[in-house]
Amino acid sequence: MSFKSTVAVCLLATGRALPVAAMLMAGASAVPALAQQAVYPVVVDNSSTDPLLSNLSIPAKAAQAGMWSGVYSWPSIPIHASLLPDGRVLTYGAPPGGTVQDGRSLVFWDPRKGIDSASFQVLPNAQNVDSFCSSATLLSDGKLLVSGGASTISGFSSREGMVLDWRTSQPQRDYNLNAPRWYGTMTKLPDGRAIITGGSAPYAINDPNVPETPLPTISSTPEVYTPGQGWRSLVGAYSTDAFGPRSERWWYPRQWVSPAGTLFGISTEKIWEMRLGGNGSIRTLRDFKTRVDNNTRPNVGPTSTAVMFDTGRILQVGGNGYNNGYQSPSSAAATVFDINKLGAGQLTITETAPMNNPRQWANAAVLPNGRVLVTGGTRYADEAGNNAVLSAEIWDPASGRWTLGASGRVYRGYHSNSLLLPNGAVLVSGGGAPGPATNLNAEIYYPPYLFRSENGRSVLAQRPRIISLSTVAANFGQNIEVQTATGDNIIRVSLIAVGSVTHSFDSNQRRLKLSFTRTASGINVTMPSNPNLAPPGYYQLSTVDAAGVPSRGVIVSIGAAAPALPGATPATPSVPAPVNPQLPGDAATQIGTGAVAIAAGADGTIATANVQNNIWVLPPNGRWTMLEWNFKDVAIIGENRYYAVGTDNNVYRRDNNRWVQVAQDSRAVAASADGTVAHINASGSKVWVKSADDNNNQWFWAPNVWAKKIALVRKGSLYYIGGENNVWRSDFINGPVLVGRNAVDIAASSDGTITVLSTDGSIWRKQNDDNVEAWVRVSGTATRLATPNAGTMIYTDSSGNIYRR
Amino acid sequence: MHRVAKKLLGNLLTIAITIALAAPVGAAPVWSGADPMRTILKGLIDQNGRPVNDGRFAGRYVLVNFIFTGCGTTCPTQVAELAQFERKLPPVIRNKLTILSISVDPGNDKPQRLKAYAKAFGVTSKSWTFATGRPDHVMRVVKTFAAMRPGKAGFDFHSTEVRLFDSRHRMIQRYSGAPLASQQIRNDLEALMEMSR
Repeated sequence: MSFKSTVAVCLLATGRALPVAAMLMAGASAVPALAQQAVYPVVVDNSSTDPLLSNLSIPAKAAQAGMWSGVYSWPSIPIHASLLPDGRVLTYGAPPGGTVQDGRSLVFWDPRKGIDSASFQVLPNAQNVDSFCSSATLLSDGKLLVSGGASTISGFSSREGMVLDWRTSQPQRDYNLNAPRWYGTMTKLPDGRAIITGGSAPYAINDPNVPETPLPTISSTPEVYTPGQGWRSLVGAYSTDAFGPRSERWWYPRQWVSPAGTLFGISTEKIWEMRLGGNGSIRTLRDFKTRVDNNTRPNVGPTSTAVMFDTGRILQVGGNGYNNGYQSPSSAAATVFDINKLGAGQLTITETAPMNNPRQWANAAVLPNGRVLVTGGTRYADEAGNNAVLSAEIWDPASGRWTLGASGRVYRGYHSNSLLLPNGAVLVSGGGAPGPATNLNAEIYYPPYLFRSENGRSVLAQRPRIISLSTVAANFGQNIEVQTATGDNIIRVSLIAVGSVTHSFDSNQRRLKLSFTRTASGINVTMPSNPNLAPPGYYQLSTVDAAGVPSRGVIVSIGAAAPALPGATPATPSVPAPVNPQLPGDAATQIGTGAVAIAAGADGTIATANVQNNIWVLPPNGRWTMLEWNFKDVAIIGENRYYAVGTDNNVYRRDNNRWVQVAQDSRAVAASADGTVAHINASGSKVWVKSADDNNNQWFWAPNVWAKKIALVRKGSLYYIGGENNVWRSDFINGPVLVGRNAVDIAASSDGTITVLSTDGSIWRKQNDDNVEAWVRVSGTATRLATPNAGTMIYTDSSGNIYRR
Repeated sequence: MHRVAKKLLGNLLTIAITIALAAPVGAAPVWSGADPMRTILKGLIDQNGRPVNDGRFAGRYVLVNFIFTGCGTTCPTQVAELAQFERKLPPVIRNKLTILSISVDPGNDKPQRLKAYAKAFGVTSKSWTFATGRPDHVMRVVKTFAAMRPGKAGFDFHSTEVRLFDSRHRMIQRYSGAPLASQQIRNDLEALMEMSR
């Protein structure tokens, strides 16, 4: 259902009464969104129907308790969730449809398209890092920095990181951390850097009851990220009080940038403050209540949730547990920390009312009206069933009271999250990997402010609207003009940082009340005065009317690169990278010697098996490193993702710095960037294919394919040299197709480029991944070939010297 | 609390604690615990067969890694890189640094073999200790560092990480050792030096 705004413009201009017909067209909205002439250059789209607010079956008490949507399928378990500056939601942490711990896939969701399959874009294995149990923050240049994490399944390190630019939707590898960190907390700093604290080696067994001592598996020294430069240790901020093993204080420490520009934190029962200049320093301020206690049930530990709901004011709520396996009853307690005078040496801690339900693994989201929504969690440990808490609760900072909200349908505990959407609803998603939940789904909670009571029932409230703005890219202290809808009675303006949530916490979430003055067209809003109050980045700007109803949020940037203009079309994500039609240049650089086999990954990683049967790998911008054991052939998916044929004719997969046997009776192996692997039997030359990059020994025979040499473009596109040196292509379904002749070596890259070495040593290139026999001569000669992409060629000469051109 | 205020706030707990904090400090916190290096080194002997006591590390920065002389992959590369790294350090840092390479194969790596191994890499510095010991002692150290993990067919893998301890022997950072994160280690050593001035 849609509402035609052009009709409304005329009506508004003439001041006539709204025709009944137009009212009906507005459909789900109680009052139609009248279009109004914009007076400022950035115009907000108020005319498009919001599918998430359409055709709702609104319960009678929605105006008091809010309401939940149904349960929507989600392509993967959303263990991590971020709101991007263009209004899309990015989730990751588990593979599509899967329940394993492997965070390489990305799921983009555009709330403006509803929540059916067309609203999702899924990139399986899009990241060449594993961001399971990582930490994320949006940098001021608009990139989402994801660091640490990883599982043992994917074989990636917990040092690795990636950045994703919402403008292109493409993930890219970024700088490695010094220390591997699993469960670190990352926070954007006032100067645009980011800090990561805490974390441990993945799956390290840690006892929360160990004495006060450091452990070599725990990271007690933070690291600071400078865009374009990478990470460095903040050695002066070493602390086991803040990031030590006892009480699991290393596990996603709760921390915020304070108004004084320091970092304030709560790590289970310890409260601390960190200075960020130079090499950093840290001090323990005092204890907070006690450690986990089954009798007093303090609101402490990684199972609690917390949010900065107002400038320098933090609500710390629920918890009383150390980890998802720890058996303890949950806390209902809630505490307000006021850190506004931290710079003057004062910290105020105020106990507020407890929640109606004790909860561990709940999530807290601050709403545009300043209240805090708590959803999900459990009354005991990470138990579902009767201990699951399905009802929402909303805390009002003005009264200190909690109001019980409507109940959802799904237990959302460990690995769940909540995220405020621009339309004022809250995405509540995830839970699982590990269980007890396996939530390949999400729900939407509609807070009471979206409704009003009318004759004993609830209907959608009329919402204030932002019509246009003078800019959506502001500086600190800058005033911006906001045109509001005629008749809006705005009493508050709210600024809420776009979220990046995982494990029941978002360190960057904060809400600020902005001061404003009324103008002829609406209001003149003053942005936060300094980056200590609002670290540079992206925020949802909302107006709130006298009834407490918020407008749709408009994403603005403060001291940061501009966000997408309201209504702009998001970039469509895609993998692999676009085809580069160019040929490699003539200039060659020698990069190695002694090769008997070479391979290249789409990311530029190169590997060789040498005459001593050693494998050496050369990552992009790295240097040669030798791997253990003896091999005679090697294939690359990407950095640290290798397959190799041993001198024992077994195929091995590189898994987390060790080799795991995945096949036998082999003499050559090939791999593509999508994780497909193929190998040739040593006896019989049959070609076998494995479509998943994992440790399973699950291969299928490529029908009717016997080969001397093989190369993979992707799953469903294998090129090989068969009898009489002909080049064939197989899609594994239809019979092989002849596409070339007289070849002795072959290479393929994920952009669809095929390169062969002819029997006379000349090099030929096929630009497109199809069944057409169309080859272009490339200058030079070679003995062996590998091609990371169309523009680069790795080759050897007859002496085994390796060159790149 | 005033009765009227109490009434307004109903049954809420309204005890606000305002804590006057000490003036912010720039110095690192005072360390009062026992020297953690003492526990780490208990029972180890060096390449000369002498007990590795914590006295030789007193007040010094320590880089710790795990090797074995039969290792044909990362160990020789890492030891060579560490040797080069140490040589390139400014004297003011090098004079405060000790490297401790602990063998994960104490059954084979007796002191004499470690001494020959060190010599093969040109390591003559007294500030580089190659340590071995009774297997139970060594395995305790290995377990403390989570420096081994099981591999296939009983073949275990040892950690290639390099760990930096400050002069109070707190583990400050863990680094990639293959390849060696030379620049990051040097940055952190310089930072520690700067803080100690």
